[in-house]
Amino acid sequence: MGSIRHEFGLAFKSFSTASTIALSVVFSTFAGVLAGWWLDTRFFEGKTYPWLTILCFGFGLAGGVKNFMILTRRFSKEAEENAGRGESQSTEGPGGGKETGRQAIDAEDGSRGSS
Amino acid sequence: MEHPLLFLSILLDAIGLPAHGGDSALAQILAPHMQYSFLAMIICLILAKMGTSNMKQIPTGVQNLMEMFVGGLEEFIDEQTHDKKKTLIIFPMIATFAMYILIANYLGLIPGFMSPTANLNVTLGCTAISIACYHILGIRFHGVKYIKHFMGPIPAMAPVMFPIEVFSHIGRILSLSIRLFGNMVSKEILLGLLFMLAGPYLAPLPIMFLGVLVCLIQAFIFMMLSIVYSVEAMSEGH
Repeated sequence: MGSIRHEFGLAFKSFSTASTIALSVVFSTFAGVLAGWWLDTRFFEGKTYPWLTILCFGFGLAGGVKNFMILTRRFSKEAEENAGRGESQSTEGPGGGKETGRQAIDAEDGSRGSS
Repeated sequence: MEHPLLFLSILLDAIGLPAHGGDSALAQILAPHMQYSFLAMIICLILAKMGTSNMKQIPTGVQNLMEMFVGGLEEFIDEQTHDKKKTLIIFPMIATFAMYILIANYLGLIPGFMSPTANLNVTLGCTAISIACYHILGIRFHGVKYIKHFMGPIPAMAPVMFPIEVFSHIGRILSLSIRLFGNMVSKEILLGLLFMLAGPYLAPLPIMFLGVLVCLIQAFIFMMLSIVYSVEAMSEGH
């Protein structure tokens, strides 16, 4: 495989990756807010008005962060493999990046719970 | 978006079928996006038939093209799964998506044709298949424990983790379907506007060029995300 073709493939992939990650965060948050708003105004008919929207917004945001973690982990692992192909195998196991993702979500839950 | 001129609709109209949408079942089946969706499927079938009907040791013509497509795609999925067995499980779905969406996207660049993917129903249908498929794969590989993954690592946190997981999955559905639909329909609307405002000759050319790139990129993204989500569901740690 020629190097120019390889470079082009990488640029193409990272371009599509960038747009993907951003959208998955946005739409997850959007889904959360929409679900919360629907519960507030239609299901409980305005009795609980701002609270469920705010709560579900938090859930949606955390879901977006989770999507973000999954996608960035996968793509950064792939980029590392591409960069260090043939030099050394990645020593990080499949659970290596996972803990950071979990911890980030847990930390966020904690901060929301205390507020 | 209402199209001014669609060849297939005109053809079906000439036969006397309701080809411009309506309320009856036949009109719904023969709505413009359905016609062009069927056309894309037929093109897929014809390509597959042409590729496999007269196979030789040294490939020529369409067989060459299809071998490049299948070989390249298999290698690409293998890079993500690192497991031949898993690759072969998801390969048929991914290859179908890649080919169908690529052809469907590029149909829109031919005058008198439209992209079936410029209709939300088509893209939402593709997304539903992809999402349902990776959940089924997750249950197949992990059994009932797959549901447990939604609850997070600590049982006490399950009421918090479950809504988060649900919203993240809804976000995936929306981002997969609306991205493809939005890109395609924006290209079509932009082309239509330029045709109307700036005249039919050279003005839409830059958007056409952008459209060629966007069609390829969107098909690629849809395929890649389906792979990533399937691999994520099948992997041990989830």
